[in-house]
Amino acid sequence: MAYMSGTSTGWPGSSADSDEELLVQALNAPEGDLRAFEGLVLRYQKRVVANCRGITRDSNNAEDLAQEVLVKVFYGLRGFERKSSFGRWLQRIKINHCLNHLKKTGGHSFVDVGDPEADEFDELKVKVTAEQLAGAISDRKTISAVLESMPSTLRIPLVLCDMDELSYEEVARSLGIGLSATKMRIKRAREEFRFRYEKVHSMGTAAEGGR
Amino acid sequence: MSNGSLDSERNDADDVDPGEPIAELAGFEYDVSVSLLDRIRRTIGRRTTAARSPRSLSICLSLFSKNSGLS
Repeated sequence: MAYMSGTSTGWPGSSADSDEELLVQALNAPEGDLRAFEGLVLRYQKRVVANCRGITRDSNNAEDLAQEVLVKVFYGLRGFERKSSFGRWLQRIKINHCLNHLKKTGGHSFVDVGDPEADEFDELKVKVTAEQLAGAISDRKTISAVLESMPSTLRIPLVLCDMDELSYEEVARSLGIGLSATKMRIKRAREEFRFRYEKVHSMGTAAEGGR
Repeated sequence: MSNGSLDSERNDADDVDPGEPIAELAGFEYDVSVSLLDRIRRTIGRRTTAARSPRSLSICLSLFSKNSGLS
């Protein structure tokens, strides 16, 4: 039996067949044999952690949340009706889990009807060291910092749409807000993201040029 | 009954162009610690063991007895 290597392929639409293969193996595995399920975990874990972090802005608990999501997935496998792909189903569990986590921890402003314009943006928390200013700012760190500087009302719709690849209608349903409001928030979120991302990059480029 | 407000909302939504997706976010992922898989493995193992333990069995039996009026 072949098992996955440790590399993640994200939400792999193109590997739905091998998802299905691992799923069947996991469902037919004798009790205690988690190898096929672990294959699915290895495939999705990096994206699950990234999404948990993106939605909750909680870098300390992102792996804990991912762990809870993946354990939930394991116990839900037998109830998975295959009306969608495995990846989509996992994604649904993850989004609900993260949104519930935010509600429990009081960070539920993403469902407020209030105007996201009124939300304060945090300062960008990219620690710009001399080495980074010399042009070595990690892109991943920049993306994280930009996302984490954005208010929930903009960040969450953006993550669900551009990271999770949900449609506008799905984002609207997940957040319980109107389609029009969803599109507006995503539009603003994309503009803000681009502006801040460029800003950080130009800081790095300027520092590099001034050496 | 008129569904004018629904139509109007749909039209409003159609008017908004959210722009192009942020390419950098598609496929964005974090490296995870090696221990994540171990933790998942341990959690599942622990729960499975707990579900099989004699204590769980006796709780299940007592609940069953109560619910079925056998106690």
